[in-house]
Amino acid sequence: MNKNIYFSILFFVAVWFHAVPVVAQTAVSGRVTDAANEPIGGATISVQGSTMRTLSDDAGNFVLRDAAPGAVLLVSAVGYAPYEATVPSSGTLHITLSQQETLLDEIVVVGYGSMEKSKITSAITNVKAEEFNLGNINNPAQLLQGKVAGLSIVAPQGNPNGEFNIRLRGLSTLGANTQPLVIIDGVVGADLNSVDPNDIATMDVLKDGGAAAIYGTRGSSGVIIITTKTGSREHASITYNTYGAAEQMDRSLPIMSRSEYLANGGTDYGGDTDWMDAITRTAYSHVHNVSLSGGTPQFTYMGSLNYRNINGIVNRTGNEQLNGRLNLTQRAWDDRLTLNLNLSLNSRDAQLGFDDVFRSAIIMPPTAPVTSTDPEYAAYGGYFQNRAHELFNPVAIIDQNTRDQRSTRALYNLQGDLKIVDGLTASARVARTDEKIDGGSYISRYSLYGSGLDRTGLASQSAYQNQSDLFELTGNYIRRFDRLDFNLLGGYSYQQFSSQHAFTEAGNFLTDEFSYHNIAAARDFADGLAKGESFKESSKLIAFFARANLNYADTYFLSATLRREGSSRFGAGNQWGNFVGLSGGIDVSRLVSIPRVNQLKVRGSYGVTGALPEQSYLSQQIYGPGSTLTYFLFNDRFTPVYSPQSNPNPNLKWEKKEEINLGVDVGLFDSRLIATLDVYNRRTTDALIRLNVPVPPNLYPTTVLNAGELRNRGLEVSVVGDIIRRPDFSWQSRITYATNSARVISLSLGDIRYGTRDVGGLPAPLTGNVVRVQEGRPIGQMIGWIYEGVADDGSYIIRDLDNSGDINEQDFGIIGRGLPKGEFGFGNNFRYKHLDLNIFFRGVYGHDLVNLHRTMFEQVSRITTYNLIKTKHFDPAYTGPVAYNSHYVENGSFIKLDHLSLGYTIQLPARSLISSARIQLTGQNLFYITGYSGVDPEPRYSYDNNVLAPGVEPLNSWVTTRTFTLGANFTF
Amino acid sequence: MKCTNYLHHIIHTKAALRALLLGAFLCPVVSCTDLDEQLYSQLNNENFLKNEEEVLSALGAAYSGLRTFQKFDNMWTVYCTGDEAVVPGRTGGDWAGDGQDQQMTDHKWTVNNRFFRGSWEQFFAQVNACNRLIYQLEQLDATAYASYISEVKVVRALWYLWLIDFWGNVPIVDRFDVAQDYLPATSTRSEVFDFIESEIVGNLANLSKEKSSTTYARADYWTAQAILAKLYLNAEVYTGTAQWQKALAACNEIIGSGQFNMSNTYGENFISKNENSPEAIFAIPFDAIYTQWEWILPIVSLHYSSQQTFNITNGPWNGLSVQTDFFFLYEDADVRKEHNFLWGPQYTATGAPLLDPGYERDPAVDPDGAQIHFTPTFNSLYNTARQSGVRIKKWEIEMGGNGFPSSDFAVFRYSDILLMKAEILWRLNAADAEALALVNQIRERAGVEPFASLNAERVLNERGRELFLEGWRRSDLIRFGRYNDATVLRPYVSEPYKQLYPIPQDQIAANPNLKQNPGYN
Repeated sequence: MNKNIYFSILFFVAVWFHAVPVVAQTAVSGRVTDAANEPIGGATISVQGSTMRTLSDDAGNFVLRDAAPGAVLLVSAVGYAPYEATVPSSGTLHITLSQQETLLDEIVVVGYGSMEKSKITSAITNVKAEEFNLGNINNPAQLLQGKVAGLSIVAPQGNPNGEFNIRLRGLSTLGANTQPLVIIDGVVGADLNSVDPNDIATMDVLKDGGAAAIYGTRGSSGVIIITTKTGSREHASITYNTYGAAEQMDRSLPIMSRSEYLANGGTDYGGDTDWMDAITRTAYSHVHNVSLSGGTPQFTYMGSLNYRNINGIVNRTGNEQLNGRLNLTQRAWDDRLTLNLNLSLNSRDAQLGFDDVFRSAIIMPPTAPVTSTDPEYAAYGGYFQNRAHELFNPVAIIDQNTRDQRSTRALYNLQGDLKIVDGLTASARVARTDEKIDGGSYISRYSLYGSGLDRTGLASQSAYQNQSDLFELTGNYIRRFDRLDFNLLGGYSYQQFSSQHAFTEAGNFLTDEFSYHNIAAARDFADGLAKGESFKESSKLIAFFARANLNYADTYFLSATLRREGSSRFGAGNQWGNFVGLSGGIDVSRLVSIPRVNQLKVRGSYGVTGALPEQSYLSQQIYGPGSTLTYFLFNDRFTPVYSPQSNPNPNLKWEKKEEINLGVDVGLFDSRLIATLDVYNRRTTDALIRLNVPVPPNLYPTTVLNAGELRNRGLEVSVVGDIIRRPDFSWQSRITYATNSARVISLSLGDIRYGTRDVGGLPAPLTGNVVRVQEGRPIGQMIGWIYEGVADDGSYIIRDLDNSGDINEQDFGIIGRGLPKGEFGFGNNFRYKHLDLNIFFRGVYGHDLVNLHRTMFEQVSRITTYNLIKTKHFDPAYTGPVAYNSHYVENGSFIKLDHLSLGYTIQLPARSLISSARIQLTGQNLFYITGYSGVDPEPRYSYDNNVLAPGVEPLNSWVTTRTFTLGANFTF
Repeated sequence: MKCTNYLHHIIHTKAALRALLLGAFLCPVVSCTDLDEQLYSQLNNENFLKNEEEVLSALGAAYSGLRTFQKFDNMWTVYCTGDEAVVPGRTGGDWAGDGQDQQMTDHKWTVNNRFFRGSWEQFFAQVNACNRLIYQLEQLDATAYASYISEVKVVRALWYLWLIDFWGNVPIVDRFDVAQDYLPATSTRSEVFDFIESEIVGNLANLSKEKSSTTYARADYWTAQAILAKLYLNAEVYTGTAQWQKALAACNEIIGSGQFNMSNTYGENFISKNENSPEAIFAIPFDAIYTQWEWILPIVSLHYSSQQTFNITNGPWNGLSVQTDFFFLYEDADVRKEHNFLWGPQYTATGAPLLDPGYERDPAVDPDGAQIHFTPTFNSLYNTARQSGVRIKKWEIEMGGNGFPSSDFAVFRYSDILLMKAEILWRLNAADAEALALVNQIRERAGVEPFASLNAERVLNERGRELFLEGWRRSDLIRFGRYNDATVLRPYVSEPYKQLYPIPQDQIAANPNLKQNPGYN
């Protein structure tokens, strides 16, 4: 490194770490200092078992009355380890606090165990509650957005009921699950929605194959391990957290006003309506959390109840949730036996609303009134309607129709650990997850939308039930020989899954009054037009696993993992697979002394993980009537037909992902600056994909095959610095940065060649696809004609790539990339005395988005029926029909101020009933910097449920929202 | 307290450890490694076809599969490349996407055409379904189910009749138990011809000649004869050698049986309850309820607003229209014109003018304003007014229904056989009196003046008028050498190689043993 740069950095860092000494003057009954005898102000001194407490002043001095000699004092201060002292019979107490465990001493959960961060040899990121994102947060995924390099999380825009899309290190699987495996308190495969964000203590993300191999078959898309809060053996406390949030529309599409619409040739329907304004509102939400925790040396408990009342910005959307949790730990036999019991229950009532209102609000003519007394509209319940393809009055959609969902999720988890002899622990776990989702919808007899009018009212009810049962036995042996630590783990895991669903749909009602609550009142049942469906499937996963961790002198680290796992979803003979993980590291700083460097760990890992197909029975020839019965006429009667339901693939086997990860962990200045760098190369083979097969000889044109090979490469950097750490002022900064490039290497299996295939169909009236999947090329390359302007006759000028004189498919060029090149997060925490400020920026770059709204509704020729989108790209010179080309593909790169939060910890007098109180004001999505003219510049990882077609912003996308949250926390 | 002491004891004796280890080791023995799948809502090879009703339900797949002939892609493949029908691009962009709909009509399709891809997949899926049924029935009891097996072979031959007509050179796959990686190779059109012929001839003896409700819509002896008649009629096109006498013999076999007659009116062949039509030789049964969404002709053809003309509960799509040339083949007096088409000013069910809220305000495009007038002409193939094109109501559109026909679709109709016979006789002797009489018999029922003599134009177009959208126009045009002619919407003569459709590129990519048809490269 250039010497000048080196010195500049040192100088810069030295300035950051510069501390101002404060001189102590008063002599009182106690003084708190650090190891260097510098005073610590603001330390809390309390008496164990009593509510008495006080704070040290800036000189570190404190007076505590009524503390009897022999009483235990508990001393704590931000940035320092908690300290216990006994009150002496006389004299002054000098308390020396040691600096809190450094970032490197954090405990990281590694799957079936935990380790100190300094000893980890694979890519694992640990995020603690205090680092979580702030604001109106109702989904655990939101807590992590931007916090873990390589973990991409995309919010469902402003949809309060939408699912977060989570991707780890690009796309490593096609037909299998692209969402990471979630483990809650040891329960593998739990649902992220079953835990309340308030109850989470830490989240660990296992990123590389070396770490995830212990979870074998489901580790390919990464593993997120959630540990919930537990009680303390010493402190009993009650906390109450609450916040209220106000949410407003942030980004939407600019559309024509009444006058612009008329000026461009639109029809005057006699109204003047801002449709977006008509369907949205400022949504107010409130959240309350009460938790109680505490314990004795043998027993600890944590109980928590969360209530969430969340409203969406679209009228009649939102949800109401109750989430209860009980975590109990009982120890017995001199702590040799520990029993952990976790119970959680989540109940949610949601009004899902209709995403299509956004498309309708954008394209409904601004000259149309919301309602009309003209008898022509009586059939629509008095709402104005103009029958045209996909055009509906959005206010009518919301007012007339209902779409509800009620879900309950339960998690039962009992774990017992028995220390058989010192170092040897045997554990057993039994757990069940249970999920029920009931849906109900009703489309009014007057609703043009959703065939309500055509069907004279249409009701449907659905019920989903998913259950998993887990039984695990593990044995763990820890031993130290001189300077060698070793840790052996062995185990058996048995998990069975079942899911079932039922669906009924029927129409033709006399009245709207029943909604979906009296579906038998539908005439459709007698007329043979009602629809019913029910289905059940089950599967099993069985595994044997072992892991050995070696640590020599905290300098050399080695870890080896083997999981042998079988799934019922594969063909006979292919059910079992072996998944190995191997990783090692050396802490160079222990071998060579480098000034100011206290850790320099070089590590590498190799690991194999697997992926399962998303459904059972793919290896068998399945027969049945299908989900809707097919008939043939036999002897004057329509008689059911039973036929094969798919092409079987008896050779179906594990999809495997091999990953090599190289990393460096650097700790500088007593670990006040920690940097982590990882590079990885993941190669997926035998990727499960529904591939086109020849017909003949196959019955159906697609079969799920192990045919794909994918490659993902990337780099991840994270830097955390305690830049300033002084009693009255601290500043911590975190940067994460990650890149990824995903490529399809092959999608062929022997003679069955995938070749080049276009996916991601454009909506009618357009046809054709936007993304080309091609072997050897990146995933998400967008194809289409290249726009070069508008000709004099009002048509598009398209580049004639092959100079043939004709514009046809041969002239398709690569006009965009659906997946981002990289993303970053930049967070800062400032604390000045009792004030703290948290500011977090997030950005993604290098991806393009097909702006479908513009594609479909920007052309003047559409104005006869639809309102037009008027962005900077609008060009009235073009008079042709809807057409797709590169004009509609836009760069989606953006930086946004994700959230900014200001908190104040209220000073409370000693002996007050409240032991701590805090208020906090947070703004989310405060501003964007982007050139994208659509709704949300965030990347879209799939379109039409196809992960090979990323980068399309769908027509019914929710708008983004800006939220302000005022919250308060109290501890009693 | 006692309990605790006891447990303590166990631990000290390490019995717990033993119990734990025992548990772990026993586990694999007691089915803890059992990974068998359990089915709940479906059947597999172990529990399917265990009773007579299940066998029948399986046989039904061959017949329910025939309905795919009227499926979305196939309507384009069958109707739009000749001169009968068209899906024009409409102003505002409806149906005007990548132009593939229109390429069917102006013969500019490519090897990536999605309609051909869909049709190929659907047709061969049905061939394979037949192969599977034959295999399963043979496994169950080849003797007891011999007549079922023959029936299914005739259905398969019917699919091959369409395959030989559309693609010509296609793989012959007649087995289900093929190797997992079996990739069939293309056979020549002549080989396919021989295959169809031998499949029919070889199974005639097992087929029923009875006409009753049990044999209705089943592939019986008469169906087999009709397939033969069609095959021989086009033998010159398919193999280069005409086989008029064999074609005539097959027609005479059907006509001479006395089982079929002309119905009194043209229209009663196409009403909802047409299953008793004396003209139906082989029909594919449809029902607005039991087979909803499987024959969507009225939905595809009618204008969005026409929903109010018929008060149907599904919204139509304003697509398929009648080609200009074809509409003008009909004289005004022809009852078939009034029966088949919807043109001119349109009205709601209550008689009010039918309006299109999205009508073109530009009088150059739509001179008659908001009321819908279905015009026989088009502004252009790729961009025409929403109201352009005569619409189709040949099969009854039930007032207040869901828009799907309940009529059965007659694949082979008696009047078709009569016209085939007339054509053969005329080809053998241009002045044949019986040929003229047969054609005039059809014309008389249609309410038009008899012809004094026959010529190619008259024979071809009488077939066209009578058999509009019954699936034979394409092969008729090719047989008469008129398929590539210029039309109003295709104002030029197209290349003769277009008489065969391209084998879909996806199929060629997935199966290297397939050979593309000449001209497509």
